Amino acid sequence: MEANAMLAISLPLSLGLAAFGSALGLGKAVAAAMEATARQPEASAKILVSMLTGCAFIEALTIYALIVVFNLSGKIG
Amino acid sequence: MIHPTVEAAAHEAQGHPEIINWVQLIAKAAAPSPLSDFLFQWEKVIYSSIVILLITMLSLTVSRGIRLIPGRLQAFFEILISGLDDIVQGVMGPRGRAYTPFVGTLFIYIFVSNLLGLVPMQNSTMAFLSTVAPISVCVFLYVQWIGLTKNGPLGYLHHLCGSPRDIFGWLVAPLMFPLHIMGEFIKPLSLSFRLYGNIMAGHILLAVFMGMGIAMLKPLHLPFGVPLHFPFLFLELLVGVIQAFVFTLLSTIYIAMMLPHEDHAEPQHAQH
Repeated sequence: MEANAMLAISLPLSLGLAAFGSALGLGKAVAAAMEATARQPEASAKILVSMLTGCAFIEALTIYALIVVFNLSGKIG
Repeated sequence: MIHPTVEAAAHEAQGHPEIINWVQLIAKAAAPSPLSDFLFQWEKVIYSSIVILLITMLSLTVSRGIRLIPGRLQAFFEILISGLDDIVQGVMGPRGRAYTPFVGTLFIYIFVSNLLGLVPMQNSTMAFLSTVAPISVCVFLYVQWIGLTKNGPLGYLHHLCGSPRDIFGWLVAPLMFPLHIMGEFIKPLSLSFRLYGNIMAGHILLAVFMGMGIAMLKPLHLPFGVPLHFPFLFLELLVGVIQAFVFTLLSTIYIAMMLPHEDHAEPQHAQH
């Protein structure tokens, strides 16, 4: 198989895989934060801040994959 | 005959779709000239200067006429700055007030840059690694400087060994030292990639949907397209605010991690 075809197949797949893991993690984090807010609505500001930090860490992994994909996608064709 | 610089820029933009901005528009109109070269090379610097000028002029106008009963603009700035102070003090405790100016500057600069990227014909400097990386290098150097001055050189080394207190800690210290050194260098890397990746991805998303909207109405030969990208503008607004906030919060946490730990022994004062 050509290098171009391999890149064209694997780049979207890799991004999809990264997004899949990220989505699972984000879902878990947000669900836990929602539950915590429902239990203790007065702590919602603190929960929101820590949830946003955690979400940024989780989401960053997909963003790394995205940067790699954009850097390599110029090599196709 | 296309000018070599214009050709190079077009080739660079070939990788991903881009929304055109006024600097590129002028540069393309005046293509084979020194002005065009200058604009292409200094595009990021021009947009950074616009942001800096905006912030400077706003703060100057507000700080000139400070009154006891604030006007609208002054009230907005007071809310913003006390909010930033609350965030920093929430992470670091009362001693964190000394770091609010640095961290607050980061937030305001990144926030205004992100929002400028959503104004038509403008671009966000945060969508380029070459303008985001220096900011995170600043954070890195500042954190190391704080570690060296607040802990002392020996305390800094002690911190980098994982702050060992017992014999087991000292046994693991040779292992912890390279890990901590690596961690210090990975922090600015992840900080800059997170911000740059998010903003760049947002711009590409908007550009792709704009292109689709224009392509939909192409057979009708109308001078406009379907605004398919419109819902994503709100997403980008949200992302811009959240990423500026996250960058600020993480810088605060890095500074807090570098500070000496002896405050934990004292009883925590309830501030809120």
